Amino acid sequence: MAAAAASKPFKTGLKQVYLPDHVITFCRPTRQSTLPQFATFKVPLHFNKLDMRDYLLHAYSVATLGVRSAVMRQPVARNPITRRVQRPPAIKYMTVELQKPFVWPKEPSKEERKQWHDEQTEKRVELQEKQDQQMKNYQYYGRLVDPAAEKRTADRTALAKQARDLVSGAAKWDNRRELDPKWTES
Amino acid sequence: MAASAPIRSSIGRALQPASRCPVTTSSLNLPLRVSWSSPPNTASFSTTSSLGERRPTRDNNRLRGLSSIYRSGTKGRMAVDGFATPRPADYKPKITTDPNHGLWDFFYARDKALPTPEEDSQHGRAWIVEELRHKSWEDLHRLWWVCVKERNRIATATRERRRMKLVVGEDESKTRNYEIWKTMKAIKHTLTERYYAWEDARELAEKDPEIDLSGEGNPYTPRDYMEEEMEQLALDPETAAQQGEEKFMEEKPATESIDPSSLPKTEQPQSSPRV
Repeated sequence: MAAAAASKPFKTGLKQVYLPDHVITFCRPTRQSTLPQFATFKVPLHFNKLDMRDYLLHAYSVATLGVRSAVMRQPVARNPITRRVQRPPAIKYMTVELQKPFVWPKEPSKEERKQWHDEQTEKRVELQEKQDQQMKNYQYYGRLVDPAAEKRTADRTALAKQARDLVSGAAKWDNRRELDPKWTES
Repeated sequence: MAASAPIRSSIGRALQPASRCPVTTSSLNLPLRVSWSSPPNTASFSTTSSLGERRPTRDNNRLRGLSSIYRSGTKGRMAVDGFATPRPADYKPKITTDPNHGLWDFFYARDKALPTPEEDSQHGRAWIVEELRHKSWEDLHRLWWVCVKERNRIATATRERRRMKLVVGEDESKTRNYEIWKTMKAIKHTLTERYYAWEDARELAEKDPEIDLSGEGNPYTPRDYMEEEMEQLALDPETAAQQGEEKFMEEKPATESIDPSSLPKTEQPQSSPRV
């Protein structure tokens, strides 16, 4: 009895769905601060919180304490076939609070990545990505480099470091000149 | 006794150490960290240190609280800033995932976030309709759910692969997904066929006098196949006697059995004389 209560900690829906065909995607937490007690899923737009809760319980026997839902609107894009400007359908994400925490397995290391990509492919992908970014910058700003990315030059970085050292007291201010005897340091 | 609010705040200001006062007006003034270690052998002040990874300001605005017009300097977060207050211990509990956690079903292995292309391509063909025709509804339903979970697994791996910008492995994953899609189609096909068969059977059953579809009593009362003939016999014994004379599998004269049209044409006497 206690086991049954533990496996079904809340009242579930009564509608029986025999052949569901929606696809649920488990998403890796993107932020460092996301706690292991939370899990995010990409779900179909027609899914609601109760559906999600019951789905996880019945299909995966995962008990949840609460569900949060968010619908992400997609940016306007050109249809690659018709060339019309349209907005792709929104994406619904649901974050559930788990009863038992779950930590994602580690992603493949650089060495393990070779099982997918050899060195050449890796380089090709990098180059392609760079070119895509340049193309995008050109369309937005009329130049290949994003001005926001340009702002932080090495000069600026060095200046900021100097200022930080001065404030923290790591470096003392000095203009390499003898102080006039008329002036005294207070 | 009760000091007015401005006086109280100024008292609070005066009570704060001199280092806390906004002497430097540089915009790069970083908030001073008061190093305070909690005394040993005491319980931690708070258990929410893992939430301390959040940004100090809720909107990530580096310049919140700074004003160039009023030269306000950085604002104190709390009135007790600058005093030695206990700080939460820098303690992050080590989380161990339950090896039987249900969410592992979204992965192919415990230690791997996504399968390699070689592993992904190790699969057989889809179930075909002919094989599924012999399966019970329970089996088909179970197979359907296996397919659903496999699709979820593939979607999770695909998302992970795209996030890591791995272009190889997409085709293998798609092929795998296609096989599952075909199996699901075959299951639906089988069930549809079964439904049509059931519909036809029902139509027949409605016409059948042996079957009772009212839902009360025995739905099927088989009748003796000799029943009708026995009734006939009881009604007219004369014909029965005639029928009784005919022996079972009796040889009949050949002429009777031969189709006259198949016989060769005989010369017919002409009734009307030729002119």
